[in-house]
Amino acid sequence: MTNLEKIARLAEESKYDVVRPEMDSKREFDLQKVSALGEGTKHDVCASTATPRMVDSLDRIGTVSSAGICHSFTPDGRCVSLFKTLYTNGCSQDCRYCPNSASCGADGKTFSYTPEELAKVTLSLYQSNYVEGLFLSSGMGKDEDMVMEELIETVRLLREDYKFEGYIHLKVLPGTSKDYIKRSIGLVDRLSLNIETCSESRMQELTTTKDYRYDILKRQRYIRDLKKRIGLPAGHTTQTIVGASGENDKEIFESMLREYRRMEVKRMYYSAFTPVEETSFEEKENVSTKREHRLYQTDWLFRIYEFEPKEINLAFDEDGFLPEKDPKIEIARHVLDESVDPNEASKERLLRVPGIGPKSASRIVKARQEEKITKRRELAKFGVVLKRARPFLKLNGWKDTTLDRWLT
Amino acid sequence: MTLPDRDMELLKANEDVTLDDIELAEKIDKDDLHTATEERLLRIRNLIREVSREIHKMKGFVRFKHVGKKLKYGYMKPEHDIGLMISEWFAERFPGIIIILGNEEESWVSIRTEKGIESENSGELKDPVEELAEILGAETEKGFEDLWEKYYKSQYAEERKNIELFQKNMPEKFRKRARNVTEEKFYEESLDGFE
Repeated sequence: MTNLEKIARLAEESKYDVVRPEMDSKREFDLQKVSALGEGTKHDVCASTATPRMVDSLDRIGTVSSAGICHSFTPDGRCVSLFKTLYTNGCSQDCRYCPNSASCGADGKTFSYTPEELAKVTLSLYQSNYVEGLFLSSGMGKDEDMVMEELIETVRLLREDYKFEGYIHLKVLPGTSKDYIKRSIGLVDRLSLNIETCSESRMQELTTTKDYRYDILKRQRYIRDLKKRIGLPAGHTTQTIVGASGENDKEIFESMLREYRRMEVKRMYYSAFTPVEETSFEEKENVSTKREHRLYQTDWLFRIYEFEPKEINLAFDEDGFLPEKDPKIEIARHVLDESVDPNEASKERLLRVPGIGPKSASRIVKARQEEKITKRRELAKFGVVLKRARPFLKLNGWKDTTLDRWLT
Repeated sequence: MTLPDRDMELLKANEDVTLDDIELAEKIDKDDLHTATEERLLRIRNLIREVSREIHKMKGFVRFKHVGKKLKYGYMKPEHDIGLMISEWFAERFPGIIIILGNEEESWVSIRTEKGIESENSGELKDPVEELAEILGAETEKGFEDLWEKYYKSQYAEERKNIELFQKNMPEKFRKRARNVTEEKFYEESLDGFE
């Protein structure tokens, strides 16, 4: 018997037969629906598929990865990792930015999946290795709980009937009852509920049908508390639309602090507002993706670099907006009153130098125990971005002019 | 004092590794590599990183076709010696199913069952696919390329077009090594007006 024959025999004898839906109907996928409902999620930024969930049994389809995997990228450079889709684009809300809104003038067709149909599309893409799992969101239909029931049934079908162990990210719809959130938590890797904007008054700029405190913040508290009791491997997240309701960056930063500290979200995502034709906001100005980028940098300073909020506040101008350049440079100009000597500074102080990140700071601290750092090019080898760090550093007693700090 | 087994495995899989590199790597630990400034250590770090990156990309970019319920195969032409690592990784992901990855020259066949992992190196991709399809009495099914193309295009936000970022994240060499036809075609279409 050749080794290939042995492999064939092992496959035939294996009790882990493939449990998958009948694929005879695969030619009947409604591609117009796949496209329309897929497009409805393209501004949802979260593409993470990293989860610490362990998969033990072999009687299953798929598994997860602790590092996360991107399966493709679109020409906008963004990762495609999940089958990201709406369940339905029917919606009773009147969100002024949204093409699915009930008040929207667009005469778009309403599409909806059934749980079985959606499970089949997910498994078809997953088994061909196009995606790492499912990201399921939805318009709110006539009633959020009725739609949540369908979303949960889809996820249950995948997990229990098809033994699908790939990654699942489920959106919680605003206003969803606590019981539905509880039922969701045991089935998925991640839940999320988009706050969309930073406060109750700003929410009123976006919609008359969502109550910020009741429909959103209260549900986030449910998720936070249930997560602690039941467990949610990849945690819960949220997203805000940047600039849709006229808010400044400081307001967004304050909501960021609330989301991380009080709601205990794993990540907050920022999506620059883009006007959509035939919505109430179609005449509004596009928000620059640079603004979105500055918010991500600020988020990073708080979450990864562990800067104090009072330090980060130094980056905002008097109108509450972040500077054109990296906010870390603005903060450094305020807090680094003297040049930093990499041979003496604490790791915390090194981290405040633009161009030095957590990895390079650790490398500097480790390396200087062995030998004094005397040359700039040694710093470059530790990963320091010299162009940005140089004006704030001092080596062998020498420093660059302080003027350079302002030209950086 | 030595590097973790996984790092040594990645280093040895690099096509450009030399015996000197391996000998040096056996004398250092993870911390040495982490804080390295010396050229030879930086080279080792880069060799490991290159292989690790290719593995990560191939896990995402490889696409499968199905032969009945018991066999999947896909095109992959890696630069480094990672064929079996990837086919075994997919075999763990899909227990009970034969995974074949390969190209015009070589292929890697793996299966995970209750008895453990069984793997085999083979010749040109089509050879083990045809042989196993015959043994299993199954044929290649219609793929899901049309479904993928529709979905993939729906995720593109034209107002955020960023060709440089696409090229950085999905460079041509990896698109070719995994034969990502849909992405290649859409990328070329989206180049209009890009300089």
